[in-house]
Amino acid sequence: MTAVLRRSRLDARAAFRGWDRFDAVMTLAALGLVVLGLLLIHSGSRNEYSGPALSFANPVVKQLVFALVGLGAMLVMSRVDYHRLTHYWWLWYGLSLLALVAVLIVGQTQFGSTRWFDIGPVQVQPSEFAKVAVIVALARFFADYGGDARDLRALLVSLAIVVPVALLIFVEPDLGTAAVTIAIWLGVVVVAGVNRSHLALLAAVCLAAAPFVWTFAVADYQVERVSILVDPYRDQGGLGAGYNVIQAETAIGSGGLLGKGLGNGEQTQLEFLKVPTKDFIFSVLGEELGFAGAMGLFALYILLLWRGIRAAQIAGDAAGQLIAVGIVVLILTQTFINIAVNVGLFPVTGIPLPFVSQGGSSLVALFASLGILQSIILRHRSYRQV
Amino acid sequence: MAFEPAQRTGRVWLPAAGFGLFGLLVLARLVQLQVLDHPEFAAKAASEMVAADTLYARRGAILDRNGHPLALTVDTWDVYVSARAWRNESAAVRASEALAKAIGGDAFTIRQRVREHESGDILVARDIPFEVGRELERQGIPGVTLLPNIGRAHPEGDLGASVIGFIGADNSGLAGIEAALDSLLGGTPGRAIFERDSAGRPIPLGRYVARQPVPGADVVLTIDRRLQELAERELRNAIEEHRATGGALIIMDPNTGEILALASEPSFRYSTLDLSREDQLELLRNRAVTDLYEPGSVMKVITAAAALDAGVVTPNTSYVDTGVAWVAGVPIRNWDYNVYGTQTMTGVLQHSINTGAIFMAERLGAERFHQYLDAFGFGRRTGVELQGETPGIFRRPSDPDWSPVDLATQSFGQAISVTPLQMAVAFAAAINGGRLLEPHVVRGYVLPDGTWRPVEPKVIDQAISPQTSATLRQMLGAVVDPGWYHPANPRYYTAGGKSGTANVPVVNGYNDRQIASFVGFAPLQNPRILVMVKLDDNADLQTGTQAAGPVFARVVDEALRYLGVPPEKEPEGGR
Repeated sequence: MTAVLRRSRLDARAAFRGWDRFDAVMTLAALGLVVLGLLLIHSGSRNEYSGPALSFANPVVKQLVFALVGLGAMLVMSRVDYHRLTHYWWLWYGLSLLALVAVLIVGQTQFGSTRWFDIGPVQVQPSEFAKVAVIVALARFFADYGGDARDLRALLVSLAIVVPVALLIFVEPDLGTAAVTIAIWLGVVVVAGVNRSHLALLAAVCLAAAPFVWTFAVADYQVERVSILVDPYRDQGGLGAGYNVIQAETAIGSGGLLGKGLGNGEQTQLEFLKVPTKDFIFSVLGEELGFAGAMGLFALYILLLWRGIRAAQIAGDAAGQLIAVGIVVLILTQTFINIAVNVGLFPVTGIPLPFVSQGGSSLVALFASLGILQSIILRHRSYRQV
Repeated sequence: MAFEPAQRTGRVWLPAAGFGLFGLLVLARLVQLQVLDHPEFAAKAASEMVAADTLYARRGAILDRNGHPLALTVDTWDVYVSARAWRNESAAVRASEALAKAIGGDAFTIRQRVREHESGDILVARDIPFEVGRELERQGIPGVTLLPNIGRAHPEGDLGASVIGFIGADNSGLAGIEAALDSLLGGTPGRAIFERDSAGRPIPLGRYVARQPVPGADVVLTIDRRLQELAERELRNAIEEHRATGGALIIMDPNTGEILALASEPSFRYSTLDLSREDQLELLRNRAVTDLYEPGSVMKVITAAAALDAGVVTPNTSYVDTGVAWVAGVPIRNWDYNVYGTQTMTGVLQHSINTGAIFMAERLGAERFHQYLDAFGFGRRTGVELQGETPGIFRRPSDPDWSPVDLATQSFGQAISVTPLQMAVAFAAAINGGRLLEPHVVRGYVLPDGTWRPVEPKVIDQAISPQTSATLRQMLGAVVDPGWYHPANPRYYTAGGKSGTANVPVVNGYNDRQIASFVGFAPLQNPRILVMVKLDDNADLQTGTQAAGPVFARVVDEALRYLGVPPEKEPEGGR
């Protein structure tokens, strides 16, 4: 009886071991972004949605539910030793490849690209999870390889891990997410100590290949998006090709220092902005909350970046460190690309703003990633003691 | 398990540094957009949001010379149907039947029209009467929207249509005075500014009037509706009687240039106007100012005026008519191949002797004759307010293919093209004391604030002396009243005038089509009206005197009585 009791007490202690190291700041930063996102989704969806407030059809409620699911996923993931993830890396990686192939065959096509599975009321975007699988696989590979990317062969193998996934995402087509995947690889190999000359060599190869890629692999609409970036006013009239870029710039620019107030942005409320709760949610923020709002958003991301880098620093082993770096790069590259698109610095591509944009898969995957980060933080001491 | 220890390296901060760099870039861009260029973008956002709407100004009325309305602006409605609202078949049937009952037309046709469109508001009826619209509004038929418009009402029916003209769907004038004075009648449209969303839909309460519309001026014509009615009736009857293809009848005040009536056929009628028909476009122009013809013997009046004024002949100068005049080796004969023997200049006009006209013109010489043609306004637009006026054309001695034969034929109205109005104005100058006047159909304007702006009579030239003009009146009086029966002699009034029967020129000569005309004035001593009657292609081939003369006489009798001129003579028997 006592033995049983003691065991269960031990189990309980084990279950809560390390909770004092749980990174609350990071979680709060993410939650702050989610709350900001809910406000903006509410503002941006008022024209589209006019049903009852408490319904799963309400984008705000839907996002909130996904945030809660995400939080649950985060707690679960933080309990899971991340070594289990790296141990079964082939499983995640294989499933991801499978899902990415499957989505091309049976997925939903929306806005001209095939990225989603329809599962009941929920859309699942496999590329969101594939990115995490890539991080895990890379971490495992370099950990096995002595945590070292100095060897050219190791670098090439790591590239071989990333490229199939990036290519499958690219042909959906989803240029943005493919770019994020490549950025993850870059971040991981940099931290893993890649040789500068190797990187330069690869860059040279890429540059040499660029003209062929531009000619054979890049679709016309992608070329157009790049040229819009150079001059969005080229295609005038009605809903010209530069429409979204112009409207986003106008929204952000007209927001000014303090913005027009939540729900008061004419560009948003009068539907000049398309997809205002997803890809162009930053424009809603820029218009309604102004420069100040954008700075607030930046602060939250900087907090997230700082805590993520910290996790990488204190990680108990090379795998943890590389996963942490990968996740930080994942979140912040998406952030950068999304905002850059909104302010007209990057060709239009459908990348959600992490934790803010409406979208269940993205939110759950992001929180799960945070869970992995927590798992790394929770375990840093014990492994150092070994 | 042996884990590879993490490399304790600052490299983990490398990605962070990269992001910091990117972040700075984005920050700079935000500063540019939201701080530096903010005013510009704010203005752009505001301009995207607002749209302007035209507030139609009330179009001025067109009145006859005594203030009787000929064309009025009335409030009407345009009826639109929302295609979306009529998607449901049974609802559409019910609604369309109610609508068809109210505005007339066939419910099925209306449904068909709406069904051609997926969405949007489809125009199903334009300019329905105000009261009908109000009734429709009261019924509240689903999917039916009414937008206010203005329409034109013509209280006198088709009267004066060729002068007044009409307005198009955009409420701008397309013909006649409506077109010629469009900007004056139309006023200045106002502007309403409304805020709109990205689909261009107006936002409720976001509307204000930026500029009030200024209503158009009322136009008072010189046309007298009674005389216009008389002119149109007489012209129509004459065309029918003489089986003509068309014609013109102008009543004008020879002392002021005011046109009291202007009938022109063929012309459109409001009651049958259908712009979708190609052949109706032919009817839109006012042929009295746009179409040229050769005036024929009426021109002898001008030749005589010129010769008398230059002093080369007197009414009693005589010459011997041999029935033919040889000009540069070309024989030119009288219209009736008659030989009149010794004749005075008055006789030349009475009998309309071609050789006599040639006699006068040759005494003048080509140069002086053409100076007089210029002074009488030939080859120039008269300056009347109607649109599409033609200047007319004739060959001058300076032209390369000039021949003395041209002078000879021009003296009796061939080889010279004029418009009916031009001929009337020149004739008026010959008998009104020699003043060439600018003809008018507009007497003045009533501005929106009520001010009266008259159109002043304008003398363009003194063509001949008043004495010559008086002499000419006597000669023309002798034409109409030669001492025996003359078809153009009015029953109650003295008159003067001249007929013309001209062949229609075709390439290299003339065919057997003719234009019969008569131009005259009354009373003889103190002319109040000048009447020009012209019949095109009368199939009965009667001469100007026979066909147009009686019309002139009837018009003079009726018009002068209407104008309150006491009768000058007792009617002698029946005509």
